[in-house]
Amino acid sequence: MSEHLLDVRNLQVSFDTYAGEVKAVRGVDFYIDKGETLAIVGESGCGKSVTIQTVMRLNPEPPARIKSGSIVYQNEDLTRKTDKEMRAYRGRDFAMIFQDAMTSLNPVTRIGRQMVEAICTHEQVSREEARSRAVEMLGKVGLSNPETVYRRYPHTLSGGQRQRVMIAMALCCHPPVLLADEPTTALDVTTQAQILRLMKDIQKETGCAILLITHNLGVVARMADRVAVMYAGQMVEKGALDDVFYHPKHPYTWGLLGSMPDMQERTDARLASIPGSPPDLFAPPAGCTFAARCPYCMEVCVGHNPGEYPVSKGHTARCWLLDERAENQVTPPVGEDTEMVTQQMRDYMERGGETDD
Amino acid sequence: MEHEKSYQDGIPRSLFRPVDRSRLDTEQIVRPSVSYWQGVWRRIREDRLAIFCFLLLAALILLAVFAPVFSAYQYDKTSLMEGNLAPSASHWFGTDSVGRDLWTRVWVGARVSLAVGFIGAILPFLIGMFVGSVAGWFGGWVDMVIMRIIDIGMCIPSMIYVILILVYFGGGAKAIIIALAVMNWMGPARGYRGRILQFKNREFTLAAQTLGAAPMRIIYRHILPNILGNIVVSLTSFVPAAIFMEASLAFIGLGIAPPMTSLGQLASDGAGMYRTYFYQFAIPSLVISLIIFSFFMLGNCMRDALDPQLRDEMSRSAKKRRRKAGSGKEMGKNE
Amino acid sequence: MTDQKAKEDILVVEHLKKYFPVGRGKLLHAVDDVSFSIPKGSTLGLVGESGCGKTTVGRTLVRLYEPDGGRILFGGRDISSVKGSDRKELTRRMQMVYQDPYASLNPFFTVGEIITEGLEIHKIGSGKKERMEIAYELLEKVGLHREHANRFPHEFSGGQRQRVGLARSLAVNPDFIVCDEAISALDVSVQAQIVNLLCDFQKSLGLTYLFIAHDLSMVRYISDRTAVMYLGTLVEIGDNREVYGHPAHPYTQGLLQAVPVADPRYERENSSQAVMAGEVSSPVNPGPGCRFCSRCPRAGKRCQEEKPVLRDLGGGHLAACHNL
Repeated sequence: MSEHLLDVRNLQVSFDTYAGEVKAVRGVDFYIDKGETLAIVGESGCGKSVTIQTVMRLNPEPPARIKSGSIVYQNEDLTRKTDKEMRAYRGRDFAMIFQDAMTSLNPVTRIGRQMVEAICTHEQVSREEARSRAVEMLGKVGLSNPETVYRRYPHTLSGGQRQRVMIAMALCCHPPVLLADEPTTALDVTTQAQILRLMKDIQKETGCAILLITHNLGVVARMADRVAVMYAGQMVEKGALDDVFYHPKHPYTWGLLGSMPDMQERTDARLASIPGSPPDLFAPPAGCTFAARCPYCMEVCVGHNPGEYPVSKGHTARCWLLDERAENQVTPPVGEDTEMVTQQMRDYMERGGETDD
Repeated sequence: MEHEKSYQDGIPRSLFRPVDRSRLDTEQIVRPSVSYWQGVWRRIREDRLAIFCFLLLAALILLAVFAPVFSAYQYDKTSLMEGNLAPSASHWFGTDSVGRDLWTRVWVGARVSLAVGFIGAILPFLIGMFVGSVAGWFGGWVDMVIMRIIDIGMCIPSMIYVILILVYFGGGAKAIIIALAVMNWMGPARGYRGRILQFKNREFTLAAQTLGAAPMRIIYRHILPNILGNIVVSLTSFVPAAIFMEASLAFIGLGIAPPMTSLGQLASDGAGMYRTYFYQFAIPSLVISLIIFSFFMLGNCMRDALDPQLRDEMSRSAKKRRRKAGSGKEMGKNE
Repeated sequence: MTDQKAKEDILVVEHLKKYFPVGRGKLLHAVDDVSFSIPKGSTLGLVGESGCGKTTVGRTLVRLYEPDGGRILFGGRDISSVKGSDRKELTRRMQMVYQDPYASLNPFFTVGEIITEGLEIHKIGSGKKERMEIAYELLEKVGLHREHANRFPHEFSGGQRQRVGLARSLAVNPDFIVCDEAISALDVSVQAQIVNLLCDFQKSLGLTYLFIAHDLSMVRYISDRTAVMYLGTLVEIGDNREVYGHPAHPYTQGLLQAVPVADPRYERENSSQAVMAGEVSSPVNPGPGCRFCSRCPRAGKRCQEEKPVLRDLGGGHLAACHNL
């Protein structure tokens, strides 16, 4: 019996294309509990969207294929459900907010009608009651004149308003798990701040769990309780927010944190960038997928994929550097290009040695 | 001083040292390089229906070109003694009312129909493309004037153009082609203008403008390849439409003058006698139908093949094969 | 910080206006009286949210749009209405890097063809072979390989494509490059690569940039001065130290507060700060007063009636607000 609200173990998802099998998700474990926010951070192509879409089984199968793994929710393994059975879960237990509200709202149906349909699919209420719930929800998400918005079509609203509508629709049936796939990426900075504040308020009020996908580390810092860093289909580092931000242990996390110019300090130093590009998941390299870009790459990294090593309670990282055999083996890389990278990474390694205050 | 402890995963301590960095390539591209048309060709090759139609069409064209050459008979040699003979070993398609061998005439007629069809489809397309690109690119009053001309032109019934042109030029294949061109350039002009508008604001078009490229260069080097797929598909329905139109003209007496003939003319000649000599009507009609059918089906298949979004997807038949092979192994599949 | 007054301004924009008719006599004020200047070899950051007109400014500078008012002086010459071969020469000196790495490269051209196109148009290089050599050199300069020249854009990642786009712009030896949200569509670690490349080229080739973006931290890093736009008007401009350290305009202040910072402790300490309310209003037929007054915490009666002008607050730091 799992003590977590949603427990995903060893999930592997592949896509069958003409060119071959693309291993989009290669062994992902995570869990989420009531009332907390788990942020999955990663760059494009790392598999984070595929992961949460698979939780709701939204990827058409074929070409997607769940090779192995389990998604346990309320003691049921969702990977074994048929599409028909999943429909009962979608909307009622899981709701999803997408990045682009314009493509996820039906453009030819009024908003009110879409919301009422969503409510009536899952709950046995009269249309009148559904309507009043919908209007109440629209007001709750901060739309002034919810009655007017109820009667409108999606294209007549602004981007921020559409996103609020999508959140309202997602919350209609009070789902315990909210999946948000880059919900604010397409919005302006000020609108993003409003939507993030709204999501936090709703979480406080309803106690729902939020699974947040983003590539923006600032959003993670603002919203998350726990963080999982994803790269090339695997979670390379997981832990509580402060652990991952202040004591990161995986070179990719160092690279991510180091490549962001600090708003707080003006610095003339070069940005630490991670050289190269992510590997093509059509032919992922044997061994650690980050090896080619990692300044600390060792011989073992090229041939063998590292397992998860514990760093502290709840904090793990997938890196050979944490193996006991790697002690004193870390030496600075050569070449001037990586000098700044080394410096930044050294800073983070040094910070990792500090105790938290 | 370290002694080699053996670890559960069997990896020795000696591997935990920095790697020789020259072995690592961070900018690797592993997939084979495939250009757009290579991808199209591959998708067509896998589509059985497309191959079938392609072969059928090729067969018909080859017959049209070579069958009269190798035939024992001339298409215009009459022989009143042998009139209206049913299909037999000496005359594979029989003979018509004045004794001309129908096998030869059908394929000679097919030559004319195909030529009229191809040229009569491509010519208005070229005209329409030029006019449409000028209208779409330059916009403003140029666009407005051209569009109004097209609007008015499309309102006039096409038969009026045809009759006026045929009266002026006299009958014959050349006149029919000109008539088809005048009738049909307006549709492609509108369509092409729309596509230009669609691509005018794409970033690679803007980038070409920023680089200083002239409008003609942008239209023909940058935008055209993106639209070529659609043009090919449109042509595959235009050609049979042109053939059909020519056949209709034959039926109202505006077709090719004898002794030269076309498929439509043959069908028209045979129509009067369909009760008694059914083969004289059925055979040319069947050949026209096969030509039109293969073009349409080919167009359908090409439409899918040309869609760049499907670049990595498998064709339907390959998907079916893969599904059958793998259905036993997956988890969570529908019962 | 070097004295920028000593360097000549390579680009001076005076009272630039660009309007778009949106039917039935309504006019969209995309750019409404914007003025700024950029010294040679430096970078001006241009930030703002959707509808503020920053992309329109960039595109008008490279003459994708024709200005409806005002002047643009490039290297001392007024280029607002230049035509013909002068204009073609101008396209060589002013280049642009676009936002969308997936749409800014023609999918039918190989990378080599994309880069050599500019060379062909401006007749640089004496033949195909020499032009390809230049292309190979550029590919290596931006961190790709020579062999990549025969590949098609769809085989590259977003960051790699953006590097190809940068190589394309550099092929014609420009003096001035507009980076129109050049990194916004890229991943975070890849953004850093591109920004480092841009900085390197600025140092080695003496380029001047107008860096248009909405990511304030990246703009702060790469630029020397920053201009903030709102609904077609310039609300604040100045050295980064001033604009980010002591923002004067309420919009700039709200914007800086809204940006999430990748530092959990900082976020926790500032979580109770008020979030700017409301949304950007429409740039169609705006009223006579300050464009920001509907959302401004300091708005007064004067703000609704009279549009504020840019006032010098000292040291080249200007802001347009009645309530400073």
